[in-house]
Amino acid sequence: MRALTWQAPNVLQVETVPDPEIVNPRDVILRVTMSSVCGSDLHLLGGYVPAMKPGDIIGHEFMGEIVEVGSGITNFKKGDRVVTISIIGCGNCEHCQRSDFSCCDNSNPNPEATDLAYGQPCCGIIGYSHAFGGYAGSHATYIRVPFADVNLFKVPDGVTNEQAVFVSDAAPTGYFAADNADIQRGDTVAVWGCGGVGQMAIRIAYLMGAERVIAIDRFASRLELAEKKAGAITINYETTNVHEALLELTGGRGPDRCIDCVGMEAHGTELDYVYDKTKQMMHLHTERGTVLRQAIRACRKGGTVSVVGVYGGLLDKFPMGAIVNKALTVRSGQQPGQRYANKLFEHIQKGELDPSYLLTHPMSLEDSPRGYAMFKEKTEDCMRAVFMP
Amino acid sequence: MKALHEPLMATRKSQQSLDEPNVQGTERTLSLVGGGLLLAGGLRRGGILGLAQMALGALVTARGVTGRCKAKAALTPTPYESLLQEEYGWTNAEAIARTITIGKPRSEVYDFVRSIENLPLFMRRLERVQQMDATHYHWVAVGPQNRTVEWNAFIEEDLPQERIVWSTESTAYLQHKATLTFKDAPNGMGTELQVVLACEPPAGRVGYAAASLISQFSGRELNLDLRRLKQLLETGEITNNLMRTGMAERVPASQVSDVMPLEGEVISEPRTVAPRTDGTQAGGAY
Repeated sequence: MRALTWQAPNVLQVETVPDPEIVNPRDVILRVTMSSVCGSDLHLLGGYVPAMKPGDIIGHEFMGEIVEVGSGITNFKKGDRVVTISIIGCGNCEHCQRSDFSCCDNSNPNPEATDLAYGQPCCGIIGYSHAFGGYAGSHATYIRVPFADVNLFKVPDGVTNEQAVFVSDAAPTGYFAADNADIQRGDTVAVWGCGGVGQMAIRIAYLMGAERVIAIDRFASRLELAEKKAGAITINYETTNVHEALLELTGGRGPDRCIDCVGMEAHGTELDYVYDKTKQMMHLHTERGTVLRQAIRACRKGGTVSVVGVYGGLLDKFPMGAIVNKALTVRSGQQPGQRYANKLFEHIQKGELDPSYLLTHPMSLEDSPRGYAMFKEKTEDCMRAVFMP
Repeated sequence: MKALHEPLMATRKSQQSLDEPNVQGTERTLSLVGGGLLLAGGLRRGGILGLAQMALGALVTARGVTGRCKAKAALTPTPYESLLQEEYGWTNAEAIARTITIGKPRSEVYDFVRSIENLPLFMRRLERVQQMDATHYHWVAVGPQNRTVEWNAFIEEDLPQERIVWSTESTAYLQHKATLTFKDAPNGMGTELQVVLACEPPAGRVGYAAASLISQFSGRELNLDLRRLKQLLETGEITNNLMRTGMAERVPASQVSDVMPLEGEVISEPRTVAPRTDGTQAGGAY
């Protein structure tokens, strides 16, 4: 089969690799019909996430058609149109039983790296480096999905492929972000980052009762989509002082809930951004914290900061004082999409949510390196390039 | 067995014990005088060698001034190891402990681990265990550089659903004991399984230092084996990232260390061992 592989930082290549097959009883093999780029791939691409090896197939946001089922799978059959949650749960461990699927104990076959770095081994993630299991990714003709009985969801009638593919990651991550933010009716919510996840978070914040959602980015096209498609008030941080604008918009109180959909590769215009970038280049720390610092500083006293942007290591100049003295709640995590997939399909069926506008650039798998280049540089107003192997 | 009932068995030294003075009396005086001499000599000598001598002098002096030595602390057995030593009547004891929670009842975990034929399913370096008589078994594992390592061990204690103690014959070159303790986890979360691997290294403190180094690797391997046991019991399969059953496991070669080099005797020549992948083990047996 053909697959998009990582070769070195910022070097991708489409090559021919052996087809996957059923290995464990709870496996399923999918023929991939759509596979999207994701902002978190940029961390892998740029070499910010260690434990990538040349030849690794990337891609984790995808859907497909079942071509083969393992002997332990009873709830799916050949031919089913399904979407896979990127973050793998086993369904059996205490965390999965609590529906904290992204805290799964058993889905990472290489538990050592995260065990050492984070204190306990973390879950496996499809196509997301060897630290998270070394699973082959979805930018390929076929993919093997482990624990398929727990991680696959049938796409209901009336939901198109263009809508369904984002139920794999962007939509549940947005849902998880809003859920963690503990949004109350009438709240003002600020969302940093208007990529796929940010757009979903804005929309879902409204579905959860937010009165106003303020979206922060620097790309005009993304801010425009946030306004037109998701209904946000927008701030361009390159032309506006974000902190002052947020206070002004909230009567000096600050947003009740702040959501970071950016992560460790945050870009900024303030002095701390230059400091972070320099230290990161010198390998003195791994994260750039501009967005997180801004969110914590802007958040109203007693408010919630919800972090779904990806962070991988250590962050410098973390404003713990603001968290303590303003009594903030900080919540975060990788998305447990298994909790939200069916809810998201319902919202889509009722017309309350339509993720399909994220798909700006459908492409063939052979074109995928170009797709990533566009997505990375945000050329041609690229929100999401989606490959159809 | 009272040592094994101590509430905390963590074998890592606490920061406090590292900070306690461990260089005293004549040794401390010698450190101060020797360090001073090295410093003065280095100053007179000059150049890179002189600098190196001064650095060493500074370290030795610091050892004398503070009365603490990290290197010496690393060679000192932990309180738990001292207890084991007394308990087993050994002259020296090196121990590692690892614990895992498995979401299955105690009886199920005990039965699975007590059935010898199940052990190679999750201990990836273990080839087979052969029963010789009612309590004696012959173990065959793949050691460093794909050498076969074999040893005999017997079940010294077997308290159903509570404890299994494996022990080598007292004539073994590196005597060791493996103690498995089964406890109920809180809130019905299943079973806490603790494994303590203890051995009696030869050659006093030097042997102890060598054994601690080796057991860092064994500890890691033990941890991985326990994770695989948990996966097998909870999910019915051992998690792996293979694309095909025949492919080699995508784990860097550096992560593959040997399981119990502490206690083995190398008795055969190196040979090639076909890679045993997770996938091939997990399918049918359980």
